[in-house]
Amino acid sequence: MTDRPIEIKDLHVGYKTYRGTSKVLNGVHLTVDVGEKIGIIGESGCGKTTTMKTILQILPTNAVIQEGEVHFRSKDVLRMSKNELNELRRKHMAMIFQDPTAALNPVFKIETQLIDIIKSSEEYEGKKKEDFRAKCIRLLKEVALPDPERVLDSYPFQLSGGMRQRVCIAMALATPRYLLIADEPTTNLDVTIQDQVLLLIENIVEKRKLSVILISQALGAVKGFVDKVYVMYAGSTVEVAETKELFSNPLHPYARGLLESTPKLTGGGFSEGIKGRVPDYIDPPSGCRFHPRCNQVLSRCEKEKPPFIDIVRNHGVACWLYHKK
Amino acid sequence: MEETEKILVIENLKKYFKTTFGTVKAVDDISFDVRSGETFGLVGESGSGKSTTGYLTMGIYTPTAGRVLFKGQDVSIHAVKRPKHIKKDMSIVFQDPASSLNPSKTIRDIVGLPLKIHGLVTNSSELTERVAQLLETVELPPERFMHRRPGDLGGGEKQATAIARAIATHPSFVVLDEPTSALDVSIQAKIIKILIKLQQELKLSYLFITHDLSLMRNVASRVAIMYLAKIYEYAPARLFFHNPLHPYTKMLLSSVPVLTDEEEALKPKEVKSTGEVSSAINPPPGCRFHPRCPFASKICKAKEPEFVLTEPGHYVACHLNTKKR
Amino acid sequence: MEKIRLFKTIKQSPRWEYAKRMWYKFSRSPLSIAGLVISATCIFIGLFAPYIVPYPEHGGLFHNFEDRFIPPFQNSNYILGTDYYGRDVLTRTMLGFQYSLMMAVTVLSLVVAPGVILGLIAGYHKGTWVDTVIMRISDVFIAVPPLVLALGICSVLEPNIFNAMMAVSLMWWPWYARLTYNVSSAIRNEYFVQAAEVMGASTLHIIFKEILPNCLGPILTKVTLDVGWVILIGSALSFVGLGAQPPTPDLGTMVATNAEKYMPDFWWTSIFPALGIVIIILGFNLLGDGVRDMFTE
Repeated sequence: MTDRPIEIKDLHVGYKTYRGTSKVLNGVHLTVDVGEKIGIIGESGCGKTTTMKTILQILPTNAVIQEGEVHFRSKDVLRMSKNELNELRRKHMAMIFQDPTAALNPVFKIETQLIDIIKSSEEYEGKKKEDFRAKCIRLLKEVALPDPERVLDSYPFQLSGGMRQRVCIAMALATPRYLLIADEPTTNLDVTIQDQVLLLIENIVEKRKLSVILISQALGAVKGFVDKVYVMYAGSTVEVAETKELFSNPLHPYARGLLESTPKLTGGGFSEGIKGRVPDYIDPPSGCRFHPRCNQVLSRCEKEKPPFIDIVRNHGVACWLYHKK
Repeated sequence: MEETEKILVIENLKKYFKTTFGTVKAVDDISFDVRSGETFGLVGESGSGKSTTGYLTMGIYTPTAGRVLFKGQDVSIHAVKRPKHIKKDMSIVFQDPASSLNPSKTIRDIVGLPLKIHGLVTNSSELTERVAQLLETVELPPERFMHRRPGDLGGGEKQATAIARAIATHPSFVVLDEPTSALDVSIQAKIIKILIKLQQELKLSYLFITHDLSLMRNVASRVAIMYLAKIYEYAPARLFFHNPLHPYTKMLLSSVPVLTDEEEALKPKEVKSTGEVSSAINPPPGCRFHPRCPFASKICKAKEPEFVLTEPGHYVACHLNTKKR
Repeated sequence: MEKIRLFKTIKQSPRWEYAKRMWYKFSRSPLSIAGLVISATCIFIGLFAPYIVPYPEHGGLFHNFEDRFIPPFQNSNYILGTDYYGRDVLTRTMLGFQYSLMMAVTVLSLVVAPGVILGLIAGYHKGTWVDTVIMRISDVFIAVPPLVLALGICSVLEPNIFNAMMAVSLMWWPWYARLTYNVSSAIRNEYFVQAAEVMGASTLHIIFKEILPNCLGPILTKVTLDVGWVILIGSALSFVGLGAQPPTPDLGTMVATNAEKYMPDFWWTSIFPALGIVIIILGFNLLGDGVRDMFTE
């Protein structure tokens, strides 16, 4: 028995399409400890969002979970009943989406949407309307929204992108949770607002001792925020390390490529990037899925999938380059 | 600076849009010039008017006031009315590769369209040959892409196609409107490499529009920063990043998420990101940045700052700098 | 040169791939397949009715009072029974398919082209006077309830199937103009249209080569769905006596005349033609849903 909010072991998920099964997730490992902040990086289409959808069991109907385990506090999420799942989504986990506009219902006032969420928590069962409003105002203050009264009486379209994302964060944190999943929470926001929103999430998370999974393409944002980074490529976890270690000493050629292709504020031009693109999942490359794009490919890479091994403490990688014969 | 060296001159350009909520001043009295063979960078947050400036240059919008001079010729009219040789000589790459390619056409038709319009090919096999060459210059193997449709392509491949189309008529000037903001960093590096290579080979001048300062540092020779429809600072790239003068430039720089310590050292410390961009319908009087500026004084609210030259090529419009002199 | 040939040989495969994807989306729903089968059968009957019906001469002024009012499923010569004049109901219903489909094809071929072209022009010029003029004219037509307009026209002119078709066409085109307008005015703002504009492409090229191909999905869906609707309106006109006149074997006319005189005792004389209408409309509606699925996502 552990209290780990999330433990994923060797997860394989596919989507059925007209051409056959698209094998998107191909062995994802992910562990989140209590109060731990982890980041997942990787190109778009590498299965980050599919992994999160599997955790919350909100996969589309054509998805098939082929193999693997997802545990929430030692309970198997994949075997939960409908009621248990609803409980999980409503009370234990929260998600912040990339697009705050789409995450809010345009025809209801912010107050209505917030109260709907608060109502589900036991703490507020049988309380009066005024209590709810007071709680809403407290929440909006917590996410540093100026003039919370006015925001509560607004419709989503009356707010700016940054404000909407703050409302989404307030909604996600309206009830006590174990885990917060932030799927590219700042991608759609302006640079100056991104910075503010990330700081805000960080403060709240620290205060409430939440576990966090941050998915982001902005490596800089991940670096400033999380304790541990998972690098995903084409549906597999390819490298895991503590943040500092990963950014100073990336091992997997993919992780190195990603870091090198990020433009630097100090200038100095560009690396080559990574050739090619994320593979077609219907007919993915054999062996290590990264081998067609890798610049250090070995003959073995085409044939066998590299196992995940710990190189040093807390720094694991799935790559034949580091495999001792 | 000789007049002939300036390929594009923007003089007191204004563009107002009438909406039901009032007049939006998208671009309000800006002036700059792009020199032959250089990359001129335009940075700003969403709603700053940087894309509108690009569209005005291309004639997608007609300016409300002011002039656009291309190679000394006044082209402040809609693209449809521009002479054909002008349309052949300037082109644009849009932000969203998904929307910039017609989904119902093949890559051959898309890239071949400008060739056909300007009568650069006489028959079908010549067209195929030319398109194949163009696809090769943007590193897309023609035999694989020629007859595909945009829907089958990844984001980077789509953007490479858009670039191939933009250079098909051998223009001398290209507007790049956030050409990589929809792409992964690994793909971005490759696209930027291609753009830089093309610039050298074809002696292109770029107007590079982006919100990504790290990217800008690596591509632009001169940079201008826009805030709420106005330019507040412009300088050669090195000075812009190493000696930013306008508080907004500093705020933007300090918000950039970075990876290395050297970059961290470059970020101005004294300006923390606060507030949000004001409404473009009722911009604040005086300096438009004053509601967010930590150094704002009385004069900032009352009077619009004038441009002053602080060091060779470095202009800034801020009362802080005016007072010092 | 060799390279060029290489490009040509692979040209077919993406198109084949495209067709396969379309078929996959279409065939995901068994109802779409059912719709396809039903409407294909209807079209087959419509095309070849005179050659496959048991008694082709029963389509016109034929009488054989000895065999009148034979109930269905009792005489193997007349499976669906016979009417007052002793004409085979099955034969007349099948011939009715021909008239109904002919009506649908005529109306739609008159209606789609002008509607789509006007819609495209208005959509491309959205916000200008061109848009206002075209769309307001179409609004005038839309404002009149279709059946009422058709009734008006048919009662002023001679009531026959030709006038009925003209009347239906007149009130149908604005719907195509409006649909195309909505789709094309959205596509007009896509970057690829602006790209073509700054490149120097002609307006004609932009409207017909850039915008139109992207409107085809919704238009095709509407055409399929409309086959059923046109037939229904045509039948309704015939039912009130303003469309095809007896003895033309039109489904609506048959339902009307026979229902009036011989219901409920000789129910089969009007129920089977009515069932024919139901089958055609059902078939094309299901097919239309499938076509819509094909173009969505």
